[in-house]
Formats: sequence, structure tokens, C-alpha cells
Amino acid sequence: MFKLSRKLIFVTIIAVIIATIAIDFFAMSGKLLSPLGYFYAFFSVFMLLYVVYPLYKNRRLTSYYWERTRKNRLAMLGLFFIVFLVILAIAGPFFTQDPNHVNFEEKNLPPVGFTTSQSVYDSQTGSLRNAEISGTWKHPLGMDDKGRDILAMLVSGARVSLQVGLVATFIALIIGVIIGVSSAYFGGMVDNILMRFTDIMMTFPFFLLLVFIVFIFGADLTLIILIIGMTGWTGAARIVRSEALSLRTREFVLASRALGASDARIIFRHLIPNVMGTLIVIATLSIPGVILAEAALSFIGLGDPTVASWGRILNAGQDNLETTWWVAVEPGIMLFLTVLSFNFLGDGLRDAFDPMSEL
Amino acid sequence: MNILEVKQLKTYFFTRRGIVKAVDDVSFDLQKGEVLCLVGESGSGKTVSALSILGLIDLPGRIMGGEVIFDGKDLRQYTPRQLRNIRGKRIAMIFQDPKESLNPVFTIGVQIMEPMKIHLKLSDKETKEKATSLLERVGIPKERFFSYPHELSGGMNQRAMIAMALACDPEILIADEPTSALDVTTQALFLEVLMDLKKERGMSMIFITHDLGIVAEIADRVVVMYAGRVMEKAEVTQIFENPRHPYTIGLLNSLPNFTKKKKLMPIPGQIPSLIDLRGCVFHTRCRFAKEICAKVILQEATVDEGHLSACLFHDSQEIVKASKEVGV
Repeated sequence: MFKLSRKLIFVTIIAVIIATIAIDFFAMSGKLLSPLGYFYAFFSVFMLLYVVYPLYKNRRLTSYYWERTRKNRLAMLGLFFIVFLVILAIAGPFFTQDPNHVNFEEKNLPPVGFTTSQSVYDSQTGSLRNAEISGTWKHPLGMDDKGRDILAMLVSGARVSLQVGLVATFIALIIGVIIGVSSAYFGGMVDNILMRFTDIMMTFPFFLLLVFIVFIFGADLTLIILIIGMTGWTGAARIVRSEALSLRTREFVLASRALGASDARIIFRHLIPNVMGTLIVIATLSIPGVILAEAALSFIGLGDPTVASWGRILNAGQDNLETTWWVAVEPGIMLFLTVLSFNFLGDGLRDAFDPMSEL
Repeated sequence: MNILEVKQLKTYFFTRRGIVKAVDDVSFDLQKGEVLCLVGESGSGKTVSALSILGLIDLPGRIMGGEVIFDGKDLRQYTPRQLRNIRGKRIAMIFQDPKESLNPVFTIGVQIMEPMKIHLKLSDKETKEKATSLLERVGIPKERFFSYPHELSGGMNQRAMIAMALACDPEILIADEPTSALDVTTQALFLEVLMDLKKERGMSMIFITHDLGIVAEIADRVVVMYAGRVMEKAEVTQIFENPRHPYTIGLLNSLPNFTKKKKLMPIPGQIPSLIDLRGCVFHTRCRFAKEICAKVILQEATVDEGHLSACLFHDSQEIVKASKEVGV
């Protein structure tokens, strides 16, 4: 019952989202939700209908892959950290302080358990004096040079990183899959044109484009995500194409054509579900790259200045590495762990989805 | 009554080494309710003929001529959309390797419902009911509805394929070597189910095989193909009792025969490259070949009513004698 109407539900929700955007744009001049918010709405609807629901429906297949993944301890560790990060990103900001709140009284406060000697302005004598400052539990990860709570910044940075990672990868994968599969399925001229276009996109210096666009339109997180997504699909397109090329010659494609399936039906019903495993692996392995790209962009000062991205905190801390080292080290550790987790999970999933590997 | 007529069908493949005439001037017809067997060794153009009927030839292959008349109209004139409405609904096809012909990521139940979803406007409930009853009809317990192809045996998969092909009650079923990947006991069960269903629904069937034992069992009429051409066409009894083409005689002689305790006589050599064929395609391997065979192509000559042979010398004493010696 749900199966046939799934498309209907999807189309309806998309229509609602588009209508809301239109109302928002024309009647309320963009106050309802940020562009990213709409993107997220779309993203979660899509994931729910086309990833979570099928996984739930094919429980046996899902549990089979889950069992295989579970055997990889590093992958499980990675998954554990990612789940932790997701919870942190969703719920964390409600418990931490405002990451943009500035408090000069407590600037350069070290993390809990560390003590540094700093010159402190003494309001009674009106002069600077050296003092030993120890970290407090009120600000467990310390403060930066403007007196902002680093824990709060890291938590809101987690949100940014995950947003960038998930949404940009999602965009990249959708473009990559459509281009890769149709290139393989139609072959000939279509294949040639699409693959040469992919080559061009591949050689295009993506960072330069980003710098250029940020220079023209200003740094905006949505824009950055869009650009990372719309330039990062080339690898996925190639892998998907090679996979689909071998699938296309399989007899079940011919068999479904002989039973009257249209090209679109073969692509969406037969080819794409068969590359799904590869796709999940590509996704987990490309998320860290995207997160790093955003961090790098923020690090060189081209990120969105209104959001506390890990890259931006890193950038802020790099000048004072000798004295207030924690400002740069903490986001660095977060980035490191996040990227490592996604890579571990990706490796684990790749082994689980690879029928040749013996687990 | 002819339900399907194939007339002078030509399907060529344009490769770098030249034009491969995979199907050249092939004509046959299928009558309502009969089983027509296409027989021949690998590479003789049986599968390509079948695919050409459904318009499933991909580049570098192209249908260069001929007509496929179904329902009084030439299928070759149909638009891709019209053709899609024929495929699976009125003419269905099943393939050789059952494991390969089913999509590994869907349960067989879902795959049996697929053609109905494409062609019939039924409610989900009806579709599912119909799929379940089909599944049981081909002898698969209905709990298997939620099994994946890799969880079933080859025989079960092949029967699931029949269920899929018959989902929309086609008038014609084309079976492309459906038994080749199955072992003998499974074959018997499969053929039984297939023939039962055929009778039940009054379907016509084109059955492609290289197994003459199966031909003897199920065929009404036989088309013997070699190197993309029709060698001999006749009623099944004629083929076995009075073969009039050296190739058919060769095929029958290469079958083990337990009553006459004869040595097997294989046909020497192998199928020639289909590029640049001259004269009779079989002359290179024919033990009766004369000089003229390398030059002249004979279109089918009538041996008897409904019995055609593409051999120049089908009436010569030599061949009549060899034909008598075959006796299966």
C-alpha cells in the first residue's frame, strides 16, 4: 500500500516545501527558514523515503550487512563516534552557552586540568600582573582569546561540519549517480559527452572556483555547500558508471526490457538499487573530504563568518599556538576524529558490501 | 492460423572486422497454440532471431530487413513505446540463466509483480494476489514470495521466471534455452510446468534449444538453423524421420542412440566466421558438398507439404539414403 504511494508522498512533500519557499520568499521575505533549513527538509524527506524505509522493508538484507559491518571493530568505533557527533550536533546547542557570547573577563581560560600563567589586568591596581589561571568546569574546554566558550563553539561547529558533509555529499551523489548510470546505460554518444564533461569538471580547479564565488557572492554556508556538492560528483560518477557498465550487460536488464520495462524504469528500478552498496561506501568515504574542504576554506578565511566552523576556530587559534594552544588543538582533534571515524566506517562498509571479501 | 510471421529477417552486427550476418534471410511462422522449436548449435542465430522479434537488438547490431508480423501488423514499424506495450504483455520472453535473469536485490515476489505494474492497471492487492497464485501455480510455495533469487535453486528461479513472463497472460512465450542451465531432473519438472501452463492458457511458444531430446518431446514444428540461416523447417516427425538437410542429418547422427548401438558421428569442424560467407553456409562441413555448393545459395526448397530444406541436393539419392540411416 505504502509502496505505490511512496512516490506520491514524496512529490506531495516536495510540493509543500516548494510552496513554503515561495510563500517565504514573496510574502515573508525569507524569515521562516534559512535556505539550508529547506535543504535539510528535502534531504531528510528523501532519506526517510528512499533510504530508511527500504532498509527497514528489506530487514533481512539490512541485518545481513549489519552483521557483516559489526565484525569490524574499527568501523563500529567510527559509527559510535558519528552517532555521538550527530546527537551532539542536534541536541548539544540547547545545553551549551551561546558560542558567540564574548566574555573578556575569562578570555584565554585553559581547559579543565591545565594551568597557565598569563598576564592579567587587575582592576584594583589598574595594572597588568602575572597570574596562574586554572581551567574551570564552567568552561571545560577553555576559552579563546575573545572569551568565547570553546565547547559551545565546537558543538555548533559539529553541526556545521555534519551539515556540510551530509548535504554536499548528498548533492554530489545524486548528480554523480544520474550522470554515471545514464552514461553507462545509454552508452555511445551519450556516454562520450557525459564522460568528457566529467573529465572537464575533474580538471577544473574546484578551490579556485570556490574562492572566486565566495569573492563575488560573499561567504555563505549554503552557497559553499552547493558548490562543494556540485563540483564533487565526478569521482562518484566514474565509479558508478563502471559499476553500471557491468550491470548493464547482465541478463536481468535484458530480461526486464523483454518484459516491457522502459529505460527510466530500468535505470531507477534495476540499475540504481544494484549500485546502492557502492553508493553508501562512496558516501561515507567522501564525507570526510567534504568536511575537510569546508574546514580548509574556513581556515583560510573564506568560510561563512557567521557560523562557528571548526576550520574558523582553528584559524583563530593558530596565531597563539605557543600560549593558548588549546584553541587550535581542540577543533583539530575533533576534525581528526570525525574524518577518521567516517573513513573507518567507510572501510568497514566497503568490506561488508564486497561479496568477495571474507569476513 | 499464424499468430506470428517472421519474413526474411536480416539482423547484422557491424563490427570492426566486418559485417556479421547473425541472422540472414530467416523466415518462419508460428501458429496459434503450437510449440515451434528453433534448433541449432551455439552461434547459429537462434537467440538473435528471438531478440529481433522483440526489437531488443542493441548496437552494433541492427535489423537490416524483413518483417515481423504480429496481429496483422509489422512489429518493426512500431514506435519504441508501442513495442514496450507488446513486450511482456503480449509476447514475453525468458532467458537461459535463471540466476542472471533475476535482479539480485529484489525478492522474487516483487519481481513477479513488476510486469503487472508495468502493463496492467491493477490495485496493489490484486497484483499481489495474482503474483502469489502464479507462484503457487509454477510450484513454488508462497512463503518463497519474500525470498531473494540467491536463496532459491536454479530450477525454482527458472520457474519464478515463467511466473514473471506469464504475469500478463501473453499470447506468445519465447523461451531462450530455458533448460540449458538446469540439471536433467529439474529440466523435466520445469518442462512439465511449462507445457501445462502453455496448454492451460492456449499460448503459442517459440522454444530455443540445442537439445534434440527436448525437441522430440515438446515440439510441434522445428526450424533448424545454422550460421544465421534456416537449414530445414518441418513438422517434428519429419525432422526426426525424414531429415533432408545434411546439417540436420549430422545433428541427429551426433546423438547417442541406444537401440542401434551405432558410433556417434560428430559433424567435423566448427561454425564458420559469419563474415564473408559465400554459397551454402554449411558447405565447409558438409560431407555431401559438391563444387557448386560453394557458389550457390539456395532459398528453401519444398520437400513435402510443410517441409522445407535449404539443401540443393535434398532430393539426391545420397541424402535420402543418409536420411534413412539416421532413424531415431
